[in-house]
Amino acid sequence: MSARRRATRMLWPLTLGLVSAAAGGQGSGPPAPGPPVFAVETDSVEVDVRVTRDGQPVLDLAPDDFDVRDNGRRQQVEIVQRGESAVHALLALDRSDSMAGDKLAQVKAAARALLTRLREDDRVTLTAFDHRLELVAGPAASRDAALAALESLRAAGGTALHDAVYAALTLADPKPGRPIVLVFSDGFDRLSWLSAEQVLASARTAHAAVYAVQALDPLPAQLKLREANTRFGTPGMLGRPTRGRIGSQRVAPLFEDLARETGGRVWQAAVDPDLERAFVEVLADARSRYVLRYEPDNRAEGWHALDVRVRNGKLKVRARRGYMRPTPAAP
Amino acid sequence: MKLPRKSSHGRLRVGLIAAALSVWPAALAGAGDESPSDTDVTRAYLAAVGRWSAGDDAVVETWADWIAGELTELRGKLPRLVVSAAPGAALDAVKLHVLAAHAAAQRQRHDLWRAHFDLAEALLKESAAAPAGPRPPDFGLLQRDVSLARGYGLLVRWQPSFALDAFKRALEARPDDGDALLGAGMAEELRVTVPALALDRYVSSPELLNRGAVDDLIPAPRVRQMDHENSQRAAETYLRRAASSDAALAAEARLRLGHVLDGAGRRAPAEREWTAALEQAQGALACLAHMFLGRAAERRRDWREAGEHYRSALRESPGAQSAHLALAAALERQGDIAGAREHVRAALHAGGERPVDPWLRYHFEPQRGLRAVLERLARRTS
Repeated sequence: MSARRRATRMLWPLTLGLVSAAAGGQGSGPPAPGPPVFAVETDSVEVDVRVTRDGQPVLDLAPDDFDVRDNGRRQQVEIVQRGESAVHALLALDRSDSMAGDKLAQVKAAARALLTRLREDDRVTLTAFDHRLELVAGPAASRDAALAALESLRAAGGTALHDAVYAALTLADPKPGRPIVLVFSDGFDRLSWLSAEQVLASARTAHAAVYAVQALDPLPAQLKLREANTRFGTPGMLGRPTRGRIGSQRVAPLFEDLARETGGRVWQAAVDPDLERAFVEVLADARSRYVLRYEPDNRAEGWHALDVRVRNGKLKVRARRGYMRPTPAAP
Repeated sequence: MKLPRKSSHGRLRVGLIAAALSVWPAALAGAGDESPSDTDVTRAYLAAVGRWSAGDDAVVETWADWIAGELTELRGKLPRLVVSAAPGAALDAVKLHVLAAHAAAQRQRHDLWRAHFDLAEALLKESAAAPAGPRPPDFGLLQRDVSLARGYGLLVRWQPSFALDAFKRALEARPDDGDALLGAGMAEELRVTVPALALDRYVSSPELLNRGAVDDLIPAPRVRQMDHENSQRAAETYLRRAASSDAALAAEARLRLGHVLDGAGRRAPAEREWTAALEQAQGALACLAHMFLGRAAERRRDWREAGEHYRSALRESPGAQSAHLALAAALERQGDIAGAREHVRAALHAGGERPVDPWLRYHFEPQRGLRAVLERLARRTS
């Protein structure tokens, strides 16, 4: 790695979503008292952006090629990272009983394919979930530690998908590297305490882009009915359990929403051989992104909608939809 | 005929084949078209019951396999044959079938699970109708336990509509039974809080799904709406009755009642039930009551009160993974990202092999109920 890249990585600022404990609930009333836990180190905003042409990454753009608007106001951006940079990969792997046997072996092979492509300076937080969450390696472990720990995974139990995604998002610390969250599951939650809405609320303020790999299931919707999304407090979900027909396999709504909110992507993969390809593509996608930085001219608290475009209208842009500006710490 | 003694599973299967050969040597050796007489099979069946009654638990495993083929043809007339041949053995046979059903389920043999329960219930029915002498005083309890075991087993497999049928049969045997009322309440609770599962009655056949025949089977939305409303009312009734019938079950019944009310949008009554449950509960149930109340506070966007409830939940059940995650989310809403991370890490460290999480226990309650029933049934009648 060049000296400049090393310096850039070391100077990765803590910006989005980092607030002091003295900050009050967002939009909920007077701030709670208490000492600050995290100090905001800089006011700058950093945005992770992927630009493609015909599906291929475009990495030769200049700052002026970007049009970034914060709550509708155009911002002056600089490119702090382009393409290759250290990543902090947070993997959340479904090991519920529907993954038993060959499927789990294939999931491990796919995870191995991703992990072996990590570099020495990349970091991994490996979690697995059935109806419980387990920290298999990390937080921010080395590639080799994660590879060794991967072998211990066993399949059993239900699917606490919401809880698992929430945990990965919360642990998405940018200090070890640009955080990316990879979630692998069939997309249907069973037994989480947290709701999909809570997960999305966290995703909006998290640092990471979420990449979801949804396992395509040869079993028909009978299994989906048994593992239907549970939306607590939502009476009468009398329609279909997914956004599609019973019998078809549409993208799980949570995965779609996470990808949209965070500028990530969703893959659907049959367990073999697409799965390994999907995992490897996640890493390639994560490494072929820009990090843009700007000093916002509007420092109002609360939600800031982001609109990121490029001048060349033929290019496709993916970025998160916004960020939450924290309430300043009480003196 | 000798049944195989306790041994490893593989040797049991070999022993089973040997046992079957000893019963039907002509048929299995291909010596001709002769089939074993009903009397021979009945005798072998009763010999197995006798072994179990005498304390041989290994019979449970071989019993599960008997149904797979050897008794298939005879299944329809077996209850009558057994009850008339040895009415005293019939009740132990009932228990043995339920234990064998569980053993079959452990091996994912749900076809055998169902066959054993069907036989157990048929034996009970035949015993109830038999003219020979008065029934034992715990006959009603046995009927209840068989239905409870079936109901819990179906809940574990997320088939609440069929589970409800089983719990209703338990209530026919003992109308004010607290466990049966709570079981029926749990089944209805699942049907209303996860409405897609209420369709289990209509879409239990993978073949039908594969042929795209499902849409014709699922009732119209208006019918489903009525079914949902009926289940909502029934859940409340069962759970209120469970709470008043058995003080030991009251806290749990009120927690579930609150869950049902909350799912129907009746938030204030739900909170009252959870608060009442808190007065009667401790440990895991108190932890859950606090978690539900915390969630209610979150809906009012009172993240601080929510956080206080989740901290109370953790005091009741230290290491509860869900409570750590709930507190993390509440702290995040208050802007305390570091605190949120700390509790997510604590949650991950708590996710060991023996979950102590009350939220999981809430879902796995049918398994605990099933274990309790199986322990009772393992006690021989004779």
